[in-house]
Amino acid sequence: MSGAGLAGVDLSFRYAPQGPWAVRDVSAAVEPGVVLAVLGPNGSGKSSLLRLLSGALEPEVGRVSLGDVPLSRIPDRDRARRIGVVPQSEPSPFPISVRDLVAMGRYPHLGTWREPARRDHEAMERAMHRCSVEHFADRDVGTLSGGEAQRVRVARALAQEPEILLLDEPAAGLDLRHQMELHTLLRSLAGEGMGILLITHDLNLASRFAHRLLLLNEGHATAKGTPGDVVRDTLLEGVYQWPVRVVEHPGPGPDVRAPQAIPLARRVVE
Amino acid sequence: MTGVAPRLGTLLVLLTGTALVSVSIGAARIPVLEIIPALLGQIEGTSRSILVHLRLPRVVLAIGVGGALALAGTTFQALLRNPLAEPYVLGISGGAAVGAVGVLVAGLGARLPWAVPLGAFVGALLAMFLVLRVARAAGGSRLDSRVLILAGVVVGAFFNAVILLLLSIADVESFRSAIFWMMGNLSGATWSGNALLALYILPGTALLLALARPFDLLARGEDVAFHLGVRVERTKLLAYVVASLLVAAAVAFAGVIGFVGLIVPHALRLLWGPGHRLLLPASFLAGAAFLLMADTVARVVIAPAELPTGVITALAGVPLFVFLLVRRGVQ
Amino acid sequence: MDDQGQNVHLEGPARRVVSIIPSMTELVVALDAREALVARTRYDRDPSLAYLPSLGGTIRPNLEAIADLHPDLVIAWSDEEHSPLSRRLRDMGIPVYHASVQRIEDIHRHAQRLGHLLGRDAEATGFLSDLEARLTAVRETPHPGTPPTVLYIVWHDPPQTAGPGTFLDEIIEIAGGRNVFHDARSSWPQISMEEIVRRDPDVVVAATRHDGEPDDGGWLRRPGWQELTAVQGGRTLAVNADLFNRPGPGVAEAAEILHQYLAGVTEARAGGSELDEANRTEPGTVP
Repeated sequence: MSGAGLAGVDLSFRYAPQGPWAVRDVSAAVEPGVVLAVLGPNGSGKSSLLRLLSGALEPEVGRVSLGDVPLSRIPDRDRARRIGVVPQSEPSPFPISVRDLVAMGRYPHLGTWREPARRDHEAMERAMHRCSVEHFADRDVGTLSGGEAQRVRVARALAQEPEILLLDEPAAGLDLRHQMELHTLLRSLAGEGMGILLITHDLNLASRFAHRLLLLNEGHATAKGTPGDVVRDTLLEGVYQWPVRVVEHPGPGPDVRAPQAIPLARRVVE
Repeated sequence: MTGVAPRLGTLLVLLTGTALVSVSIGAARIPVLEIIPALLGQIEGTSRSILVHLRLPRVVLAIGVGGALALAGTTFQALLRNPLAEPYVLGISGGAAVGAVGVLVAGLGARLPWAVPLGAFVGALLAMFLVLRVARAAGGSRLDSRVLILAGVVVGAFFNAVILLLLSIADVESFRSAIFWMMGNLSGATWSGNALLALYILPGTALLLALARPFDLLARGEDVAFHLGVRVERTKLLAYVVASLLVAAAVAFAGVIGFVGLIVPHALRLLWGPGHRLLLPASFLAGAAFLLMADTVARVVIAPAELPTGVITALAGVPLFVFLLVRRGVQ
Repeated sequence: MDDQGQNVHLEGPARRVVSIIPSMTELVVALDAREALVARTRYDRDPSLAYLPSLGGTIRPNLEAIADLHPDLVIAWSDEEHSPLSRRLRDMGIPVYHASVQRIEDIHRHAQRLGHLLGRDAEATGFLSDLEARLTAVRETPHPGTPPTVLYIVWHDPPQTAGPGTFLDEIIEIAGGRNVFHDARSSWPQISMEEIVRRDPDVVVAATRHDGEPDDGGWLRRPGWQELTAVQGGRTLAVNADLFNRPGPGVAEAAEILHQYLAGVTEARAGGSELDEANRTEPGTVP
């Protein structure tokens, strides 16, 4: 494993001692400038892998390191300055404005007592602008649509100014335009040097926007590599237990010819 | 976080005004302008005795206890993410009451005036460690707030049974003393007791105020807080132990005064929102002012007798809270 | 006729008596009818009654235990709180004599009626004339000067005193003192420490110990007490609660003890040495 980025090597984890493995012998690297999409059926271990890489879970076997330093040895606030995480969902017991929620992303920089300085405000404004949430910055997050709220949470992670960004199904519940905008944003962040891991169920968007794919099945890494390596009909049919036909994205666009998997009606195959 | 300073300033003015009124009225009326001359010894006699040895220590105790209870209530609500959380939700009052009632029923209350606060404090600490042990045994290495609440309720129920047992074997006089203690009152205020209380309240309050930002993040869930760099387990343990110590010290000197720690945090949250950087210091000031008002009423309303302060906090606090809740709902 | 206005009818003098009121128990003994008692409560600490089975505390006496003694007369409190007990006793055919005792004149009434129920009419007459003679003797030996003000502490936590209309208020007056809370609005008011300091009584009498128990005055270290000139001057009297807090035959002795103590206080005062260091006494105790 090279020095830069976040790397998990031979990770194994289970929630109960002697229980079934949630993640088994999986390696994954989140490298600068690269979008890694983690795919797989429900319960294949995607979220557990993300939690292992974020430090929220400790692997039973294997190790996670950030720039050659074991992740568990990095102090919490240092870690949060370098790894931003957008979890699938979070409780929202009290009303809070968009601006205040994004401001939470500055905590790893501010700590207990320091007041936000100009640098902090700039980072917040930049993050809100990147996610197009600045025009409703003073609204209560509870009154936003699902897509708007999701963008606010991405903005909070960006306000951390991390070098690594981990997102758990960030596009779930977003409409077509917002899905495309979000994936475009992730791709351009990678273009600026950020390392990005996203969990998604959308094979076709992953194939178009991610540099590398990791396909999990029952806790194991079934396939990894470029979209062309992973989006193959025999492989996907084995993992998802459903017939698919892989075609090329017709374009136009920069992602023309990206492989696209079309699930078939079962009748046709039989 | 706009408006922290002016709002805290408003509360400080309110607290100061309440303190002046409270020092002035009572069995002997001491005009506000005569307070300073009386303190300097320029006015002699029973008024000065009452002021220096009874009323002032009691005002200081009300401020300390009210502030500590409201601050602890806010902390427990943040820690347990449960709106019903209050200073006594984790069984501390039960433990303290077993200690205090045990001392009173054993007949030590008359001979050793410090035995009751000591017994209450030891009982409160016992409850705190018991709840922590039970929660740890059931919830593993992590401090699970649901397990903590269950442990607190169960330990509290056990202590309540012990209290009833003690009361049923008590004689008439110690029964009266025990009931009076459990209703909460500040008549035991002394300067030395206040000094001891300050040893807990000053550092405890400073520590809890430092947790304002982590509390804000914890409100979004432990996962989010962790990802934003909060040391979640350490923060929870620190909050639990410090808030419990504050409550233990408050209960030791004032008995079980209810509702301050439940109503003041909620009222402030309804008025000024959930941000802990305002909420924590505001809880202390508002809790202090509220208990001071309640205790002043308790002292004068049926003079020459006095009511248990805890009765007033409930009688006045509940309608006030319902008003705020309804007004908020209408908006 | 008892204090609930009910007539108590007995075939003959009561032979098996249960009293759950300590002062009435003492009255029965004073009427020379000790052998009629078949039980006592935990508050009847008289050694000569120790052989009797105890019914426990008087707040909630055990009904079965009372019935099991087959009493032919039960003496019970007349207030509401205890009426379910007496109703059930009546249902079982056990006669109940209800008593409420607040003033010394109540003791007269109960002595006469119980004397009748116990077949001790003559003893009742003798007891009453002796009681009256002792109280009169105390009353007719006044102290010099104005009567000292007396704070009577029924119990110290929370401070509770005896107000107007109580036998203790009468005892203080008979003994030549003036009850500092004679103007209170209720009979047994709970009072604030501030009010006590403001009224600053000449003498503090406290019933904070029971028969045979010591009272080192530890409760006087609670806030406020040290501000009283009575406490500073050592004019505190710790009395036996079983004697003083009980409106029974002991009121004469209580009045005599208090009178003797107040005589000492007024003598010292007349000597002009009220705050003289040499005249300070340890908190007094009564044998």
